[in-house]
Amino acid sequence: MAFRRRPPVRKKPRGNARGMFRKKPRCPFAIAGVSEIDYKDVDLLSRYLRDDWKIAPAEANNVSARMQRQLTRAVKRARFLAFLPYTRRHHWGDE
Amino acid sequence: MRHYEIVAVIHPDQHSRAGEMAERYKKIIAEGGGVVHRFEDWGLRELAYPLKKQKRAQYILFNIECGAQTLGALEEDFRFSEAVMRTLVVRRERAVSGDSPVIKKIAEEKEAARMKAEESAREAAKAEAAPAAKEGTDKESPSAKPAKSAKPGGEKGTVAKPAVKGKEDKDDKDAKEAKEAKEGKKRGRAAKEADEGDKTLKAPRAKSRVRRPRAADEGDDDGDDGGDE
Repeated sequence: MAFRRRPPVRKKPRGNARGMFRKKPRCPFAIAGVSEIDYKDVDLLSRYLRDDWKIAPAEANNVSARMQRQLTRAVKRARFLAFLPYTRRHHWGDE
Repeated sequence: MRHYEIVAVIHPDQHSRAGEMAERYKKIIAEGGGVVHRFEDWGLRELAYPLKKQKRAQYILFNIECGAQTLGALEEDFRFSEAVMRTLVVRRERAVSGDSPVIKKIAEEKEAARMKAEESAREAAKAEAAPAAKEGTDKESPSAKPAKSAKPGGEKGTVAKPAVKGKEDKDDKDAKEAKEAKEGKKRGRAAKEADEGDKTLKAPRAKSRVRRPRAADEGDDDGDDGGDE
């Protein structure tokens, strides 16, 4: 007996209009090919700080856990050397 | 023999002695059989916060390979040296010899300053040449031009900028506060919206969280310095 083949069911593309299955963006350091974060690179570090000089959470920048740990260490070293402030409210003694 | 990276923060009053001190450290390293793979003098740099009531300090960087005893001798020297305000010693896996981001930035800034100076010099030359050519026809426009070209070259660092920056500061601060208030509200909503998975809101929020206040904070510092000096 011959059957007519059922047309194949097309799967819907992953994710719908509401973005339920949004793919997580890759870590910016992975994209840039950076494997080691230098505490001396203030411009780089300050990109991952908040307005109040706190370290931004990893989710905010899609930084991977491994790089976030490195980043944190680098920021803390940079702060120790006064490359970066600890807070917005450092006392300069002349204000 | 291990690889270490050392950054020393030197008191600005001992700024002139930095080279001498560096030589002494190099000698200590050499005596212990160590090798200096990289040495950088970053000169006087602005501090992000005051150290020993100083706003600037001299930085030097060493990448060395030495034994524990030599490092100990160095650290002892740092500790008992009045001039050294702070040191950071970091262990490295291998010898680092390329230019550090700091020295690269310093070089870039120097280059930029040179280009600017050249440009303003060229403009000044043009402005001087212009009135000679147009002398008979226009009287007002050549006289206006030199005034404009003189400003960016001469006064920029001293008078014009701090005043403008101060104004920007206030504006920025207001804007920042407003932004923070908004962010706070947004974050409160964040959890609920995450369930709904709103595409359009999510992406911009991630960006706004990380936005930098750089201009404002640095402007602050500049303004203070200007007032003092």
